[in-house]
Amino acid sequence: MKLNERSVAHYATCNSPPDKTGFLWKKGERNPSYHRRWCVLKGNMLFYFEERESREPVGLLRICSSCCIFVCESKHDKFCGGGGGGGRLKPVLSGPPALQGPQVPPSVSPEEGFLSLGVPGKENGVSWNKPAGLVNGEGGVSGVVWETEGQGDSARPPPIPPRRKTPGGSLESPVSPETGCFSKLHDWYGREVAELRVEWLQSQSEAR
Amino acid sequence: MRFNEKELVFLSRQPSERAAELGMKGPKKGDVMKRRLVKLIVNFLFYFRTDEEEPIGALLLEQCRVEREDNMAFSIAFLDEAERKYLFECDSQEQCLEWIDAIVKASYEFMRKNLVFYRTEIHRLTGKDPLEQYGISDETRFQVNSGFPPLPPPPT
Repeated sequence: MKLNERSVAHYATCNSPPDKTGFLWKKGERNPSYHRRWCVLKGNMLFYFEERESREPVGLLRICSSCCIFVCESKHDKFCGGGGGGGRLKPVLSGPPALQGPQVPPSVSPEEGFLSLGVPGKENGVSWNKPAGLVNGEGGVSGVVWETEGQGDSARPPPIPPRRKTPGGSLESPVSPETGCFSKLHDWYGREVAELRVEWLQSQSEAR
Repeated sequence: MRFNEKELVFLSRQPSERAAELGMKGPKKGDVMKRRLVKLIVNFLFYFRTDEEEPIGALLLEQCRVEREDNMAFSIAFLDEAERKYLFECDSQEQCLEWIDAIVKASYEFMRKNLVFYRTEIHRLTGKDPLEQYGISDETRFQVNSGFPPLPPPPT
């Protein structure tokens, strides 16, 4: 199928502000190994480049209502969740159904913000970044694991925090449909810290 | 540049914003006007042979200019190759204007610029920033002056 590829590649590198940029570890369909790629998200287009300075994208992974976004645990040491320094829990695009995990709704898109302003948006046809109804399209999607920003060229991302156990003994996963953003993860893991802190402060005041 | 063709085909089957049989002529010198089924879906324009289910091609409608050509025709040109125009012939002036309007409004860039515009307006009228509740006020993509070329670095 034809596509105006040159113009699409131009769009990837032109001065329109991207919605997100950063390094991702990407696994292709055929090649099973992960490769670190510079990725640029503009609207419904996710481009990936060999290097940050590359002038042309290697390719285009498109996000719209035609692919599914899952969070799953990586079999490797590669980081699969949020972390410090303002990083956010990032979605993992996964191809095979075996890797299915809870769905992560996309973070608030400009369109959602746009619609909330009471301005009529797209009412017919395909919606932009709609959380509900994300359908796994045909043709498979590469496996992608986001790195937190600010890590730059550091080799090892921090390990995934240990899972919490509820009093009932059941395993509650920190990865739930709600943990689409770092602040929620932060609150989740911060609970324990906050409790310890209160205990410590109390013990300090008692000691006086 | 690699892209997932199956993903695009899948998209071409989704409900469209607008679809019609139009005359379409490619940008190359030898191209002639042919009857095509043209479908606008999000920021893509798909074009099909009138009796086929799979599209011949797609145009990403970002960084493009849509212009009226004659009474019932319009053209799409991409900013990186402004001389190469795709020409479309409609059945009426009204249809032509509707298509031009729809294509202009289809791009993500158009939506983003609108958001920035209305954000400023709402802030001006109410004193409140409507993006604050989402915690995204400071993001570059929502600033008024983003989208212009970056300033050169200061001399060392």
